[in-house]
Parts: sequence; structure tokens; C-alpha cells
Amino acid sequence: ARRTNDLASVTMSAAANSAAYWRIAGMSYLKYSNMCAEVVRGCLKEPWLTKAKPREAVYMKHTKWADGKPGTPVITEVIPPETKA
Amino acid sequence: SSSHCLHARPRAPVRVVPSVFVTMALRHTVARFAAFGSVSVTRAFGTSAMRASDLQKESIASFMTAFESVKPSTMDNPSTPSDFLKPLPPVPAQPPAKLTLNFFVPHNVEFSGVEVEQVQVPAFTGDMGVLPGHVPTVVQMRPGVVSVTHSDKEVQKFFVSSGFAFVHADSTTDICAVEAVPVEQLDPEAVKKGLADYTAKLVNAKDDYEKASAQIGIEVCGAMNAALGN
Repeated sequence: ARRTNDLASVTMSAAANSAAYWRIAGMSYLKYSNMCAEVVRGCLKEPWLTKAKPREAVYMKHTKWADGKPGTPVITEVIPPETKA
Repeated sequence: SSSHCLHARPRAPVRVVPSVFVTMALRHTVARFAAFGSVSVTRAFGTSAMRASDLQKESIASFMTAFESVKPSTMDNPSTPSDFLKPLPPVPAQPPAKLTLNFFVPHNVEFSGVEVEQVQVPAFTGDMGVLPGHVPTVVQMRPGVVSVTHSDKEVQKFFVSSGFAFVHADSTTDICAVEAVPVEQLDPEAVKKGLADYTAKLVNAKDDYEKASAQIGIEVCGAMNAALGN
């Protein structure tokens, strides 16, 4: 019997050869899709490259609530590097 | 290299089956009223003689009959989700002359309700051509080129980072991607450099996650290279 019904552990324990390489490595489809988009954005020509910069910034604030009180917020902020090497 | 598989026009498009959940919820509620009358909604789902929407209407009608027999006189009948849904567009007997294309990315609308002749989509299983009258499909796209044919002379190509394409029974095609750029906006030098960088990252990868990230970079840059004709 499985100890946990957590989706991540179920997919990881499924036959590895039936899943895509990114799934096996622990990425969700959303993560894979967003990484592909990042690669594409990095290869644009000039006016569109700067227009794409704001799309790369990610700001998330995650607060766990318990007993009607918020816990400590976790802020995830991804700022694209200033200069693309 | 991808194989060209242009799907032939089918005889009869398959209609997408509406929600099973509505029928299930209604059956559950009807079971509670079953004591008050002889109502049976135990017909096997998917009888070929009836279309799914007729089954649904039947089950709603029999539920309402049972409900009306026990409700207080001042109470209205409950609404069902299908009351609020827009009706599915009728499946045309003949495939329409053109596809209706909706092509969206989160930050932009490339096409909205535009009529085109053909769309070629880079599916995981190979390039797929969509013509009016195509079988309803859900396609997962790999990083590749979506080719929109407005007419014989006018073909627009977009490089798509990944996403999904949906073909509906009335030949409406929805393409959703995270990034879709006209191929002209790609920088060949940046693509070559990216390919080299990610190949180096793959060699130096320390764990599965880094390896997969590098493989994604290689996959997408390779597709961009192919799209640019190298």
C-alpha cells in the first residue's frame, strides 16, 4: 500500500520510462512550459527582447493561515538578470 | 526532423460528451426522491441510439418530475448547470469553408476568431495539419513552428515555446502557448550561442533537475535553429 497519495510521489514512483525527462527530474508541466518560454524570450532580437523583460519578472507572496491567523509570508521574487551574457 | 501527417477529412465529427458530473449529481438527488415515485435513471450512459445531450435532458426532466411531486407549491425548480451554459455550437453537416482560429498567449492575442484556410501545428507526435472538418483533437505541442495559411500566398509562421492546440467539432481551432513569436523576431546568433551554452550546462549538470533544465534549453534552441533554417 502506498504511504502517501501525494500526486508528486505517485508520478515519481510510476514507471520512469513512460514519463518525459522533465517529469522524471521532478518538474511539473507548468515549470517545463515556463522554462521553454524563458529560453525563447532570451533569443529574441532587440526591440522585442527588451519588451519581453517584464514578462520574466515573477513576484509571489505565499502566506499559510492557521486558526484564523496568518503565518509568516514567504515572498518569491525572480528578477531577470540585468545583462544577458 | 518531423514527419508530415495531414489528417484526412473525417466522415462524421465526434461530438464532445458534456459533463458526466451533472448527470451523476442529479442521479444522486433523484435517488433520494425515488421513494416518492417510481423514477429510474439507471439507463446505461452512452447508448449509441441517443446522443449524450438527450440523455442529459431526459435525466433532468425526470428529476424535475420527481422534484415537483414533493416540493412545496411556492418553491421554484432548481437550476441546473446546463441552464447557464452557452449551448454548444451545432456541428455543421458539411465542414465549413474555413477554420476559425483563436491563437492566444498570456500577454497577447495573436488571432481572435480569424478565418484561415489551414493551420500546421507542431505536435509531440509530429507536425499536424488542421483543415476545416478536422476530427476534434487536443494536441500537446512541442517547441516548434505554428504555420497559419491565410490563403495560398499568405503564410504566417510563429515559433511556439510549447502549449496546446484544441480543434473543436465546428472547426474552431484554439492554440494556446506561453510564448509565440514570429520567426523573424528570433536572433540566429543568440540561438547558436544558447545551444552551445546549454550543451555545456548539460555536461556540468550536478543533478537530475539541472540536467533536465539543460535538456530543455537544448531542445528549444534546437527547434529554433531548425525554424530559422539551419
